[in-house]
Amino acid sequence: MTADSLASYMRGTINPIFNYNRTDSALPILDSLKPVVDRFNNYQTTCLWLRMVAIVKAAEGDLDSAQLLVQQAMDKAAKEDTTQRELLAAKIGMSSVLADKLEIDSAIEIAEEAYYLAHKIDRTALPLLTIKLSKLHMDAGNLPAARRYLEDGLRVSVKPAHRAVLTHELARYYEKINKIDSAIIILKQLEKDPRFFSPHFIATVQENLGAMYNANGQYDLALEYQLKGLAAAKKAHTDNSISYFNVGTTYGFLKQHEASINYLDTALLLAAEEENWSFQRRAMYTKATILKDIGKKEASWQALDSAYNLYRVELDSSIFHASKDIETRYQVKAKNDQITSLALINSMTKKTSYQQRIIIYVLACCVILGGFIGYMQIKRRQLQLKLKEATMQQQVLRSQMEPHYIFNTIAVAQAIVRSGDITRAKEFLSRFGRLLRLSLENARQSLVPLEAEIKALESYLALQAMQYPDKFTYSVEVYTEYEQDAVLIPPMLIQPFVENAILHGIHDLEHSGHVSVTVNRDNDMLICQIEDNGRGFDNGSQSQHKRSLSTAITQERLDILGKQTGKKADMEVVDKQMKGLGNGVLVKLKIPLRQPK
Amino acid sequence: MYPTEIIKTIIVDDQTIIQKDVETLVQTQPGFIVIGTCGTVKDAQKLIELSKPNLVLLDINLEDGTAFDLLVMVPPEKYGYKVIFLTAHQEHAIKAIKLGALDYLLKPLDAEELQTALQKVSKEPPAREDQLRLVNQYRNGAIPSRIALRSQQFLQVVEIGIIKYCQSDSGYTTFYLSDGRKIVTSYYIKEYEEILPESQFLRTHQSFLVNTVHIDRYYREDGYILLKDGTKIIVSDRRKEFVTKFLTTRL
Repeated sequence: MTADSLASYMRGTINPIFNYNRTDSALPILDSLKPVVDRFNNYQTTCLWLRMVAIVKAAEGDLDSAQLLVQQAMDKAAKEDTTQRELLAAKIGMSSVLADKLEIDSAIEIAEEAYYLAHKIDRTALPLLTIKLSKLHMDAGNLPAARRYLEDGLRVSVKPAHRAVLTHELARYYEKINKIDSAIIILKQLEKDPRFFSPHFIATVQENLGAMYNANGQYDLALEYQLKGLAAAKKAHTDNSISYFNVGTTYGFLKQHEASINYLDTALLLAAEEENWSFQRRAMYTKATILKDIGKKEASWQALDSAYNLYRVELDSSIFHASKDIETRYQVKAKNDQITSLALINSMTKKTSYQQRIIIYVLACCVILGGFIGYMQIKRRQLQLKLKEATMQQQVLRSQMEPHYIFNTIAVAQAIVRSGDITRAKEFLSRFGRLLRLSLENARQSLVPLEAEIKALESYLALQAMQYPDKFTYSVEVYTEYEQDAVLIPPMLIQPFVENAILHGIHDLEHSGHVSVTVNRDNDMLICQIEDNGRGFDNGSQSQHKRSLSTAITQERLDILGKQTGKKADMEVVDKQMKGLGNGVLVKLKIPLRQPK
Repeated sequence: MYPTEIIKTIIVDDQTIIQKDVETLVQTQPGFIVIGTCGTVKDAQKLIELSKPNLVLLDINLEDGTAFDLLVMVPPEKYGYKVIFLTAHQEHAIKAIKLGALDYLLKPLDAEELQTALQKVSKEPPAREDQLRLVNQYRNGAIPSRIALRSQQFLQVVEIGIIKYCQSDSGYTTFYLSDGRKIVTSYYIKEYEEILPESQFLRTHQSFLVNTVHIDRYYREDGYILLKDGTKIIVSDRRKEFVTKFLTTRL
């Protein structure tokens, strides 16, 4: 047997018993099931069992025990139930118990929690919850809220039973806001609804209709419905003192005194059986009024006296109930404490045996982890190198295609066109086009043919020379037949130094500046020199800061290249003045070459 | 008839070819004469001090510094000249300029845009010191605490904290301030979304940008935000998710 089949067995056997209001006979079955439920130790069956026992206790009138049981179900569900379905069921149960205890505010609060939870996980619970909430709000006197839930309930409910109850509640709502006619119309419709067959429900509807007509002063109709209702209630075995009392009162209104007194006597009898003191008093008082009406003074006086006595009994019993209540509460608390301490002891013993096992696990894990860490370290270093290269590629991409440079160059092209120098404009644009193409192609690769890189460099220099006319001249010297040399270098290694030479080295010279680039090959190393005759390092200036940033980036790229090729890449940046070589900056790069695969 | 006032203009750009280009464009405008061009902060400072121009067209990156350095040395308010920045593409600098509600033009220059900008120049007062201070603070990386708003009648520097929300309407943006004032500017709301601190301002709708400091509640189902003063701000359906996320994670 599985937990699921146990749960469905419990539902199948016990729910019908509840539906026929025979809760007392459910208890033996539940008691016999306890060992099975305990053995399964499954939150679903345990929660279900707890809730069912709670229903029995509530029906017995032992509301404190019921609350305790539902609370246990709720705690367990909150801890173990990931679907939250049991939590929802427990919350619904708790709101019922609280409502029975007349703690309406708490009942509403928890029912609303359940309502939101149901919205999330189980919309089929919504009709029931709207019924509950509308009833509770009505009891609390919050009629707008009650109406809201009624409307919501009628929207989400499809089952005739749910709709019937909601409609019935709607009638109650109309009664509360003094629209008796509307209430009557609704109740009449309900009475005729063929989908609803429960005699108990029909009885309730008819009795309520009677009460409505009574409130409207239509005593004939009231009596008719009350009698029908009473007959139906008798059939359903739900007839109680209230039904008889109501009929008796209505007879009183119709001046049929004898009948009235008959019914009131029955009501008194039943109320005594039910130990419903307050009803007994009311019935007795009504009887006294009627006896007075028909002139039986003495009998009336006796009835009044009994009413008074009953009032005292009622008072006493409420005091008795209150003291009993306190006692039960104390017992519940004591039981609670006992449960908590038991749970504590349990978890303590579990912990100690756990601890030993955990220590062994931890030691084993440490050994395995140590091995892993060593391996991962090696992996990580390899990965880091790759990552760095990727970042560098991005940086290159950015510096190469810098939007500012592109837009500025277009602005210059525009200026040349506007000046009317078409030949120059053509040349400028074709060079710019070539540079754009090369840099777009080169930027995607981590290595490019030397020839492509040199071409890009020449285009760049030519464009800059046209943009800053008369500011500088330049020369690019590369070893012979480099075009045939199928070697690869990282793109944009040389360009930043050329850019620095133009923008920062020679920008505000009085005389015209000169930038020279020489590229030579020494076995599998490329030796590059970038030289200008500008003002050299201008320490502290803003341009100096930019210069050192691009230098740092290049240095890092060269380091990576060195690690990848296993040969030492090198960079040297000197202020020529320091070495007695005249003015300007000299950059020497040693770049390891790579062959295409 | 009085003769139209002549606007003496200086062009500052580190590329002579651009200087010349802008010069020819400005010279064709009636009422404008170019009285000088230069390419460095140093020269521009001298030129402004000596020739007292009415207008300076100013490239941001100069050979020996930036346009903002120049404006600190020769404050426009003191020397009585107006500034229009020229720049190719510098997002951060442009945002700073917008924050200070200053004028700028993008390179390559569009002749019509330049014309429109020049025609507005005579009506506007020179950039104030507080505007420039906002620009420089932003450039130095400070999160802005104030913003310059320019309406048709006046320029107002306001604390960002007192902005309740902005509402856009066909190219105009209205600022609603917590002291009850309204300021209508002629920028798109998107531009303000870019310069106002993104951790504080929430775009709830195509037409609304809300200062989260003033939010009281968010009614997700009904799709609106309630401000502390009771104003309702619409949240568009496709931004609901984003707004929820923003309000739960960033605040």
